[in-house]
Amino acid sequence: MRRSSPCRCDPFARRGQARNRNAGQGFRWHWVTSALVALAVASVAGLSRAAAAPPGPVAEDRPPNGLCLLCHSQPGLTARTGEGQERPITAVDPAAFDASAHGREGCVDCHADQAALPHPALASQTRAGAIRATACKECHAEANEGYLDSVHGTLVKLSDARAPACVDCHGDAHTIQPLRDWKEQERAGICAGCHPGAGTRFLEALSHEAPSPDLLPSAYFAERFLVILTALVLAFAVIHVELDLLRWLVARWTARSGEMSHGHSPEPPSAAGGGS
Amino acid sequence: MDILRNPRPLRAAVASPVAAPRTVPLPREQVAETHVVRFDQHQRVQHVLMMSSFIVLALTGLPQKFGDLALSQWWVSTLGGLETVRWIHRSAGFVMLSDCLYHLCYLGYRMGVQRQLGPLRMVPGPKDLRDVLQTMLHFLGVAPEKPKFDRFSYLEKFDYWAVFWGIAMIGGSGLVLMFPVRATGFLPGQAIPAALAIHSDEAVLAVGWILVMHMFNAHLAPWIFPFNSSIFTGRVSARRYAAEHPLEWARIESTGPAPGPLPGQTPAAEPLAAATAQDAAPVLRPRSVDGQLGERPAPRLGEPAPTLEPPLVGGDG
Repeated sequence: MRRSSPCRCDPFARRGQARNRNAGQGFRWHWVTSALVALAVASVAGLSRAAAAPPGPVAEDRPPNGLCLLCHSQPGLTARTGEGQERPITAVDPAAFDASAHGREGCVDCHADQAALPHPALASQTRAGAIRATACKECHAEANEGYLDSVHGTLVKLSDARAPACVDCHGDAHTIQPLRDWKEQERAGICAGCHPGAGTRFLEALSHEAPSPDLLPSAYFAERFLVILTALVLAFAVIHVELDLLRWLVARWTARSGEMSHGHSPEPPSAAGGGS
Repeated sequence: MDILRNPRPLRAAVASPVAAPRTVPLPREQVAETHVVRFDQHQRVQHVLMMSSFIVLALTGLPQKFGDLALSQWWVSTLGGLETVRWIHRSAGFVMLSDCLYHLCYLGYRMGVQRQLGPLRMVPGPKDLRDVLQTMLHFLGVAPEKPKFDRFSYLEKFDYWAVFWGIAMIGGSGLVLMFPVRATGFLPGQAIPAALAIHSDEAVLAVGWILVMHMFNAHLAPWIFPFNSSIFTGRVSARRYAAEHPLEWARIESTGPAPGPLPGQTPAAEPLAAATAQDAAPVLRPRSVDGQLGERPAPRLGEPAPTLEPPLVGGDG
């Protein structure tokens, strides 16, 4: 989910007409008036308290989606950023949103920091930072962990510009459909956007869940086997080195205690040769 | 071989096999300065390629595995970003795989064309298991003597075969990760997460082994410190050879000091006096290269080994 309108001044300026107008003079359309009326009504219902409260579960106090949609269902609206740029606001099709997998969610469930009006400006973020700050993980915590553990997560952690965000593969959160409704061909097509030629077999290559005997058994057993092998081999190595050194120290000590009459005793060789 | 009979507690066991019958004992100084050529030039180059590519691979691979660490993030951005790091990693991987091919061709040439069976000494045998056991018992003070190694000790054999295993596992999975779409053309999709698990876990095993075992045995051990140069110069002093590889040393000794021409080298007219050009110190002519021991013809494939020579592969406890 990209918040596209970090807006510090007038969020209600219509694109085109707002350009030559002062920021404070944007309230000239009937729907804007409606919005203000609605805002006043909503504030009675506790919106101002919700806005002042820290983001989090807002269950009862959250503003109804309809309030947000007063503006955010209007394609073509722009908002002015802190730098004075006009940028289109995110416009949501209410019908498509209702029909999406997220149709029962409230706007501020994901956009917790946008509950206040006027909206606080978003800090400028690197892309990787924006991905990590994504709201998706609030509900999809396990998937997010699996994502960060995957190759895609490596791109995120190491600030690669190509790191895919949730929405890059899963689509706009406002129209997203449950995974079971996707055809394999459609999903493979999304992979092919970055991995040209990817077919349906490529789908298994990425999972947001940790490998288990049921899911990705080959990765699961390969990992188990290698962890055990690593532990055994490194334990052998450490023990071997320690005993080798200990034996050398003992021999050295023995030789020194008995060498008063013999003079210096050269070093003993390694037990297993020096080539290892 | 007086020099090997010095009263040294740990060497007493080593000295006995060296006291093989010698017709003309060498003066003490000469023995001390004699060296054995243990690695030929190909083997030295192979090791340098392996070592340098391994270091680069570790330095560019570990930050990708541990991307959460601030150190990794700093290092990757210092090198120019993940894409750069990945290409450095892939280039070094290419060098390592090429080195492996080089070694296989070298082995094929030695055994197939030159008909030398020397490389087969690397094959593990039952003696290696006994050697492990005896070494452990010796470490613990139970067995008075260390095992007597032939050309390759069990650790050296382990190291060698571990590289084969590691190249197969890490190189194979690395190619799958480098070409994931093409890999799914003939592999199931879940081969890719499996390859990622194999690649990174096996790499940690390899780096751990090198850091513990190789660093100790080739660098940090008090009797080696600061480092064992034989893999770079190819040469090991006779004294150390006799101590570390007594069985092979005995074989070298029993063949006498005047070996025949070695493959790839011009025959020396005066073997005893001939010093190689780069040798500043007076040394005897190198008397052994792997598999070429003395004047007797090298064992050939399909023929029984000469009776005087111990079996090539293990067996001679």
